[in-house]
Amino acid sequence: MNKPSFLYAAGKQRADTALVEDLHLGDILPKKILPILTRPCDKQTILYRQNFFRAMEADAFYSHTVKLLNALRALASERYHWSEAELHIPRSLLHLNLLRLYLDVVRLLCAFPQENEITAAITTYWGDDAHRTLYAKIEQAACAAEPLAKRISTFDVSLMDRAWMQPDDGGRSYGEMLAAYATGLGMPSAPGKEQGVCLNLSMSSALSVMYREELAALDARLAPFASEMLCEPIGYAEELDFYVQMHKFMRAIEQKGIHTCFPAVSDHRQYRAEQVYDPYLLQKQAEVVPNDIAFDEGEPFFFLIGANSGGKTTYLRGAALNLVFALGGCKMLAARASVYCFDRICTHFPKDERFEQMGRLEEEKRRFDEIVCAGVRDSFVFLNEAYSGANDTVGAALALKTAETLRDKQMFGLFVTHFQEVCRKGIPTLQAMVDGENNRLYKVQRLHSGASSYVEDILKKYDLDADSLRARGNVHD
Amino acid sequence: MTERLSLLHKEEISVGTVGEETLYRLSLDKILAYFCRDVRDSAAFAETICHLPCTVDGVLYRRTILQDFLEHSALLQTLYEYFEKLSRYHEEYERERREIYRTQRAGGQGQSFAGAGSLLSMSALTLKRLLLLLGALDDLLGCCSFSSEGLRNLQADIRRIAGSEDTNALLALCTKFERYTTVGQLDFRLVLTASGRIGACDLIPHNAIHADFLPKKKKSFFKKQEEKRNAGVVLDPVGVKLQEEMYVSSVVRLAARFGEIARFLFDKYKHLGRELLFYKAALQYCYRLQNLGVTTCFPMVAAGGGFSCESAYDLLLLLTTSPAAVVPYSVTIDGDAGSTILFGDNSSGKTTFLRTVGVLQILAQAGLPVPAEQMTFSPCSLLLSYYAEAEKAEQGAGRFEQEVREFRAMFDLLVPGALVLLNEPFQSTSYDEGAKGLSDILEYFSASGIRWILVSHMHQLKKHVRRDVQLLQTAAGYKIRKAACEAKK
Repeated sequence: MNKPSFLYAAGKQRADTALVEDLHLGDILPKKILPILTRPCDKQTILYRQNFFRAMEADAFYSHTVKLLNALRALASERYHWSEAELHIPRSLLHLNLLRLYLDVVRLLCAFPQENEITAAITTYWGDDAHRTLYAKIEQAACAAEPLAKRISTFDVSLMDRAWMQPDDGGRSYGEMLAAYATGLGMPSAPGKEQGVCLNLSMSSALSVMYREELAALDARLAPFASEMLCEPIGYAEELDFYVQMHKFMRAIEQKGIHTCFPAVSDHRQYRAEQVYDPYLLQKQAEVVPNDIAFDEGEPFFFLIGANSGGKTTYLRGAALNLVFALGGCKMLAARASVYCFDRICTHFPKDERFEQMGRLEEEKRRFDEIVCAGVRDSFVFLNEAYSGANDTVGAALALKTAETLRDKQMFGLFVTHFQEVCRKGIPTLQAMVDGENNRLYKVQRLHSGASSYVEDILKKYDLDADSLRARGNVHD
Repeated sequence: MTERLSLLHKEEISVGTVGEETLYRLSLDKILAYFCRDVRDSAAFAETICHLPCTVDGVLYRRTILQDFLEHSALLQTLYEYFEKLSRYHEEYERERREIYRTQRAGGQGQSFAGAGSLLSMSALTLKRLLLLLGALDDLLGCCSFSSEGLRNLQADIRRIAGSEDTNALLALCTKFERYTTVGQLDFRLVLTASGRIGACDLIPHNAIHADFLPKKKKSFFKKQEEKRNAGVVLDPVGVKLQEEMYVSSVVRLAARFGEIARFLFDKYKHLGRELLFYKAALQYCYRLQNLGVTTCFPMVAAGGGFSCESAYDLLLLLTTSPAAVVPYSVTIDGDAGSTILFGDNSSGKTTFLRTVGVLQILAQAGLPVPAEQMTFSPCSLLLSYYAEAEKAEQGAGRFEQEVREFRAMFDLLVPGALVLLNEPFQSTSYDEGAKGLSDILEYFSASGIRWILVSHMHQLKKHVRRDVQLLQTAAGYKIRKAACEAKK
């Protein structure tokens, strides 16, 4: 049986490196989880990951996951220290600690407080006969080694005129006396902070002499367990880190009062979401205007036009980032959403490099050609102000040609542009709205959308209309 | 975690029961300024009435403490001074601790050596002063007899600490280390961590060391075997660096122990000084009411959601005009209905009515007497308000949308048992459409167990609201009477 992964299956293909840079993903999330997040997954993987994230919303499951992650990190760190340790005493104690940590990790792997598809596979693998037998042997050795290690680990030292080391006689230190009196006053006793100073050669040698027999017995117990066999689960650390970091990120977003949701995974090619936020902008300012997204087989491509600084790029980034989240199996920053499992997300943003080999326009065309030449039909392409170096006529013509190419290739796309002409060619177009005095509203709407009742509209927007209130259910504690 | 003894809350503190904006809308800030001139007292009072007890027991807990202080008014001042002193000790301790750490960081190894010693002396001395202060508090409280549960608890708690044998033993250790010097203290207990590092290094008494540097004489086989098990060994020099690390670490750990105990006691009592500020302001409020010459009462408190008052005065008007000029209200809001609309024309007293009910509810729930002949109320878990305001210079939303947005924000806070005061909402749009939208929201409130009182001149509401909503109408002379009903269901 192959070792199962917490990610269920890896994403379909590695994401374009430009995606991370264009969407500022590295600014909002730890870089180490991006290789996992940016690989779009298949439907089953998305659903399984969603279930894992859902389970993490229960405190018990979340703390179990964090505990496991910490245990895995500790295992990796102790393994490194063990390989570096030179003195006999620390090396023996580290070896025993590796055994303890392995037991912790396996125990946690087999005891998730809630079962889902991913934890079920993990539990089955780590609970099979081979692992159970190894676990029992290690547990037995660790139990036998424990009293020996405990005896070696506590001793008294006097550094008065001549230095002296002796086994601990069980008397109380001043700190313990204080702790005992404090307990008498009703104060809970807390362990002192660990220092973590390294033993030196002199002390390690003295301990080896003082506890010669105990040390020999300890080493004999640990010898059968090489560190390699204890390191099998270490690879899970980065997988769980992905879940924990994404969960923390979403929780921080939710604490700002922003709604999040797990998108429904659609079998039809579409990307629909209501009240979507741009996570990048949310990090920079508290007030962000949410927008709706609606792409489907009938209208897979939109131009987005509007005034400068009117929120066009924010809309595009919000749509793209949330699609990345959705296809990575994570929550989206939206009230509701339904997403098809696109195979690829591509971005085409202006670059600031020096264009030494070719002009900016040529370079932009080349990058777009690369995107379409890959021929992945289920792609979603986000283009931001492409061909802005060209004059209006050429730029608009190129933009329209781009739309045509994407339509021919049956790809989905959103193209932010300042070439206003594109909206006169019958291609669906969105517009970043301004009010009568040209103030930016940061609201993106379809061009020529119909109007409805003012009061009803506003109440609906804030989920306070009669239907939304009915759907809301009563207030709970 | 420190078990906090509180003179304000019998149960866990219920956070945010009344929003600051509600205090402002009900003019409680102005009212407060009339009877409490001290900024600190009035800030503490305002903060306290933002966190009201939500249960009958909680209200009575606070009220009986106030009654005890009314009886022993001199005690309150002395008690407050003692707890102020305790807070000052705490601040001094934290300041000195920070200063020592700062100097340690700035200086080299020598500084670290000296800094550790200073930290230990200072921590021991702080704990000693604190224990002596608790002894003085015990003497003060021991002279009084209280009827309130809160003060009796405080009395017993201080007695338990000040009269304990452990406190005497602690005082002896504090005295030993308050003038700490490095001489003669290089005996340690070391505990290795699971990773084989020195995890703990503690000072131990010198008589725990049984060093034997003499050469071993020839001994019998059995004697040798026994000694081999228990004997210590001569240690090669450990080096100056490790020796200093061990010394600093052990002294800092011991200082931290002293500090933990001191902080435990500080955390247990330091908030009481601020809580007593509420009672200082409350006493001033009680004396001011007495001076005004109006009838006051401690309201009856009962669960169930009802509210009624007999000859209740609006406190702001009472403080700003003469009592004779204020028309008192007598009103009953049935607990089952839990929802009331007061209709009335402009300047007919709608807002005053809403303020009177809101202020009385807050003061009564805070455990205070109120200016009324009689009052019965039920504690609410949250008091929210919405007052129609002028359009804010905010992008992307007109006045009505701003109103809806505020309502939406209010929804996120709602909990069952909340009381919502609404002053002229949804009047910035067509009255018909506004009334319909508002009535849906009011119905949602009622269905969710949220009590609400609305004042409005939007008579269109009568067509939409449920039959069990109590409808009132302002009448000439700022009176309140029942209104005719056109309710839909």
